[in-house]
Amino acid sequence: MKHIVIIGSGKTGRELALELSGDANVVVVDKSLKNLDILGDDFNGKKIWADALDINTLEKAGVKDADAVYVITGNDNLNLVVGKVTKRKYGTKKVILQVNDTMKKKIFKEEGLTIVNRTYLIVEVLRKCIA
Amino acid sequence: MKKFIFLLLIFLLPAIVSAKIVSLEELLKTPENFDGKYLQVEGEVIGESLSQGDGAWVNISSSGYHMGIFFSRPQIIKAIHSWGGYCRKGDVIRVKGKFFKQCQQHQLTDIHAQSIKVIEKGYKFPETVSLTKIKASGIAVVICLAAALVYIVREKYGRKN
Amino acid sequence: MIISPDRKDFSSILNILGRLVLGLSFFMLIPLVTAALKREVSPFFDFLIGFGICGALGFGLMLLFPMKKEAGWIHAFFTVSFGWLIFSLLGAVPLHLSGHFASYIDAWFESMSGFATTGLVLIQDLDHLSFAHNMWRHLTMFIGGQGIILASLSILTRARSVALGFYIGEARQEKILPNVVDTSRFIWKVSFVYMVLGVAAFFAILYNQGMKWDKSFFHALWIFFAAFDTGGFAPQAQNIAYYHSPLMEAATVVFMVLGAINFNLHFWLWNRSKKEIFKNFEIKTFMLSLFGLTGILYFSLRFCGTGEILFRKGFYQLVSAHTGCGFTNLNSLGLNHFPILGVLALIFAMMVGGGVCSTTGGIKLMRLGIIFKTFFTEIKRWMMPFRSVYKDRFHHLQDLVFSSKRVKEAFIYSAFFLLTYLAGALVAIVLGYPASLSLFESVSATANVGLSVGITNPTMPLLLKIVYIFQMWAGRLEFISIFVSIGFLLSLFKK
Repeated sequence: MKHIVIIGSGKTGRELALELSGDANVVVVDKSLKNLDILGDDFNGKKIWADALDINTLEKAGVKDADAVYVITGNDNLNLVVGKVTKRKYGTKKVILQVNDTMKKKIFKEEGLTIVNRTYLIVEVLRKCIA
Repeated sequence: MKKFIFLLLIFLLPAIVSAKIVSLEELLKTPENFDGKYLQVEGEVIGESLSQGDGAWVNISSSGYHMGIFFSRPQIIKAIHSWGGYCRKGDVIRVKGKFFKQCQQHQLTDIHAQSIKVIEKGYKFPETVSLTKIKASGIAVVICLAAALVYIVREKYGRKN
Repeated sequence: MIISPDRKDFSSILNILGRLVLGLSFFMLIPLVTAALKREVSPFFDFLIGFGICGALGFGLMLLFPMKKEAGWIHAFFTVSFGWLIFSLLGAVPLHLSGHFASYIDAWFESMSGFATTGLVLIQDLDHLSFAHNMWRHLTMFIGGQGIILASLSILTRARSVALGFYIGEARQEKILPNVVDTSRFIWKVSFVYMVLGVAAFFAILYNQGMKWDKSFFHALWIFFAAFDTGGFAPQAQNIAYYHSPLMEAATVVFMVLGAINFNLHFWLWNRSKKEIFKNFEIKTFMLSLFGLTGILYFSLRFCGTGEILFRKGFYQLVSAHTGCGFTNLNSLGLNHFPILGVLALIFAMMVGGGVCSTTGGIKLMRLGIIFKTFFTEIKRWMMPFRSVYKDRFHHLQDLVFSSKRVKEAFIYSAFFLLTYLAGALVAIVLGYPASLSLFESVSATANVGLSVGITNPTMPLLLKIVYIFQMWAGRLEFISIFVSIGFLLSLFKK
């Protein structure tokens, strides 16, 4: 079974975690206990209440052996830093992170990371609604 | 005449002395009274003989109590033909041997046999299967299959909706 | 702290129970096939009846009670608690039909003893029991043992710590893998590998002793179930003493210990670092406890015989007691001839048990370790300068801290067990049994061990039978069953 780490349990993170936990080993990391609690007590995965900027947290979450790591907190800079650290230090196969509005492109790869620009994606979708 | 009686007594004495048949219950409840003594026990043999080194073990059962009998010369065991199990009563044997509360060789309570005698032959007896049981099983299976059918039909029907 | 389900919850719970009962019916096919293979006609029908009843009940429940709500932890708690109860009642049916039990209650006792991996027996004339029935007896231990591991890891780890307060704390850490399906796959994989090794080993020993090959296979399988699932049933009345084999005893010790280890530790050893054995808190506690108790046992037995008999007589019983298995190589009254200090050592071992998330019952090593460590830490604190801050760590798969919450949980838990041990003992004492024997038997039942000093007997009072059944149930489910039952009753009054 795949091992997936999701850093950031906001609205997106939560939905992703619940979706994936059906047939993958999902570990969710968030600094806020409330966010983790909203996942529910029945969450079929592991919750880690800690700061992602701490190397120990990343190790505890098992990023080293993970098949994919999603870094999707609300803080773009944090996402970039953690994403890069994960890729460089642990060489995780797939590191996907989200940014809100730092770059113009929708989805692109950089230094082995997959970066999803959420604002730009939504703009695209909205544009297509009236096309 | 006196000589004859005297010789007779000498012959009978060991037989009288060792003719003591102890119940397994007494043996297990008060082993200290019999530790190291020669005695006789009776019981149904159960299971099979289990070898250990050059010897072998036979387990006997009597009134719910059990004892392991050790034979340093396992050929004697060949006298036993029926061993207790399902629908089979084992031979009841009388064992003459030495009882140990804590055998040095095996570190547990046992009897080292010198000789055995089959006093009651064991036998196989047929199973009694009551008709009620067969009928009940039939009914149970039928109800089960009926319930299964209803369930499967309901699932399929439910899905169509 | 009240777990009170409403009508919709009840429906879902009964639905899940229906599925479980259906699963049980499939398990009953195993002894059915055994009866067919061994040409045991009457047992064949016994299990056909069992299969039919379970199947009918299973489908019936699923039909009458549809899944109204998504399965959540509250359903899991009820399902687990009542599951054990229902399984034991249903599993008793084929046993009672065998004719080897004085009453249905006796059969229920044996069935609960099996599913709760206890090992206390009320069966009569075990040496003449059919292969099919023996298969079922041992299978219940397998189902119960694997079931409790799965339940504790996947279900009981997920509840709100607030709602059940003290219980969940320990178990929370014990998720092997995040996903429940993966966790159960792992458990099955490991159990299967051990099963192959165990059956092979036991088979080799027995076949070598002269047992026929098919009987050797069955005995090997059954002894494995009873050893690894730390149950303690054996196919013959004399338990392990029947085999008179030091090899058999040594082999069972290996599997008893394997079964008593936290399943998380198995995972760690298989997939991660093998060095964890030396660092692990529970293992260290186990070693200390075993070493200490062996010493006490040696000391006490010395006055009752020569030192050499310690191994077979004393140590085997100690390992059996500590791992919660219940195998014995002594004759039926052997324990009664133990010196009192030895008996107390065994009682202590039984009270403690094995690792958390294993098939063993009792207070568990983790909690014992926490309690002892806390005592020493407190004493150290009194001796240290007034303002020094003292925080101790321990290593259990990862480095953890002695939080006051954890300590509180350990103490409350242990208190529950001790109270139950004493309550059961009191009942027996009131009924006329000697104090130390009463305590022994009560602990044996609650901690799901299975060693007996003779109180457990078809002639024992009905009240005691019921009390022990209840203790086995409560102890196995770590008292969740009690809270769940209270919540259930209260919810009935709520309406």
